[in-house]
Amino acid sequence: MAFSPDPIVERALAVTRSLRALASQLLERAYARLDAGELSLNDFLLMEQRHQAIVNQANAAIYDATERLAPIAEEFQRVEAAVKDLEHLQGVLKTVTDVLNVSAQLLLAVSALALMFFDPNPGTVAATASAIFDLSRTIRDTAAH
Amino acid sequence: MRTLISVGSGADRAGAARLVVLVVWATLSLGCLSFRSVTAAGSIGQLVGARATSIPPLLIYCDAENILAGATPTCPRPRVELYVKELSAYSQGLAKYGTALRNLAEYSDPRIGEALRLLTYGGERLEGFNLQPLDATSQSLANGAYQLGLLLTQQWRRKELKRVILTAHPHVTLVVNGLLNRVVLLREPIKYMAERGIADRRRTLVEIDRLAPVSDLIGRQQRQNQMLTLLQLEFFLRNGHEALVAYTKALLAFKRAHAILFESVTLKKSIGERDQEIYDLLKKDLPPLLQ
Repeated sequence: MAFSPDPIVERALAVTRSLRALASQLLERAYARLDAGELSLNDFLLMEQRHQAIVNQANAAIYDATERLAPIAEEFQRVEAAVKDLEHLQGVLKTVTDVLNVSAQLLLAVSALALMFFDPNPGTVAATASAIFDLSRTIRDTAAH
Repeated sequence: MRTLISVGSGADRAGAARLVVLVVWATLSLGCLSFRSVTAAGSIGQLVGARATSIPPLLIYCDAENILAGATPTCPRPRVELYVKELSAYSQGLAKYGTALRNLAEYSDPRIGEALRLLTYGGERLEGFNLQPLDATSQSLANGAYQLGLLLTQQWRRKELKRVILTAHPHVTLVVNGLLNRVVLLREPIKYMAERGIADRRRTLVEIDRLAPVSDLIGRQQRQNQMLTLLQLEFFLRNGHEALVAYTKALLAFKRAHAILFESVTLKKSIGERDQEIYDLLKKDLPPLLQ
C-alpha cells in the first residue's frame, strides 16, 4: 500500500535531500583536492565546516517541517474511545456469560430441590447438596471477578 | 429453545437439536465480517506497539546530531522529547486498539455453552421430576447447546465489531498517517548520519592522521580511539534506522489491514464469499509491507 505523505513532508524531504547531496559533493571535491595537494589541511577543514553547515540547514528544515504537521491528539482520543468501547463490549459479554451461568446453576439447584421434595432419598439429597454448593461457588467466583 | 430441543425423545431430540444449530448457523452467518481477518488486523496493531521500541533512542540520535553540528545545535531536544512521548503513547494506543479488537474477535467462553446445557437439563428435570442419565442424547444436546451459545455471541460480536470498525476507521487512518509523517521526517537526519555522516567523519580523521607528523604519537592514539567510537556509533545508528523503518512498515501494514476490514464491513456479501476474499487480500497485501 503506497503511503502518500503530507505535502509538507514531501517538500521537506525533497529540499533536504538536495541540500545533503550538495554537501556531499562539496566534501568529495574537498577530499579530491586534498589528495591532489591543492588544499592544505586547514583549508580542507574549512571546506568540511561548510559541508557541515549545509547538513545543519537540512536538519533544521526537517524539525521545522515536523513542527508544522497537523496535530493528531484529537484523532487519537477517538481511537482511545474505540478501545474503551471494545473493552466495554468485552465486559458486557462476560457479564452475560456470568448471568447465564448463574441462572443455569440456579435452575439446576431448584430442580434438584423439587426432585428431593417429591422423591426424598440419599441420592437426591446428595445431588441437591452438590447443586447448591456449585451454585454458591459460582456466585462467589463471579462476585470475585 | 428448550421447547424446540425437547420435542420428542432420544434420537428425535438429538436430531432436532442438530437441526436448530444448523438453522441458527445458516441465519447468523449472513454477516460480512470475518473474525479471522479481525484477529489478523489486531495482531498487526499489536506489532506497531512492539516496534515502537525504536522511538525512545531518537533522543540519543538527537544528542549525536547536536555534537556533530558544532557551535549551533540543530536538533531541538525538548521538542524531540515531546515527539518521543507522543509517538510512543500513540503507538501503544494503536496496539491497545489491536488487542481489544482481537480479544472481542477471539472471545470464547465455554461456560456459555455449559450454561445453556444446564438450563436445558435443569428445565427438563423440573418438568419431568426424574433424573436423566447423561447418555448419548444428552451429550448431543450439550454439544448443540455449546455451539448455539457460541453462535449467539458470535453474531452479537460481529455486529458490534462492525460498528466499532466503521466508527474508528477514519480516526485510525489519520493517527497512522500522522505517525508515519512524523517518523518519515524524524528518521531522515539519522539515515544521513548512518549512511554518510559518520563515514565522512571517519574519513576526515584518517586524512588528519595521514597528514599529522610521525612524532605525534599521543594525537595518533586519540584519533584511533575516536575512530573506534565513530565506528560504534555508526553501527548503532544503522540499527536504529533499520528499527525505525521496521516500525514504519508495521504502521503501513496496520493501515492496510484496517482498510481491508473497513471495506469488508461496508460491502454486503455473504461471509463464505467475503471470508476467503478478505483472507486472500490480507495474505497478499501484508507480507510485502512488513518485509
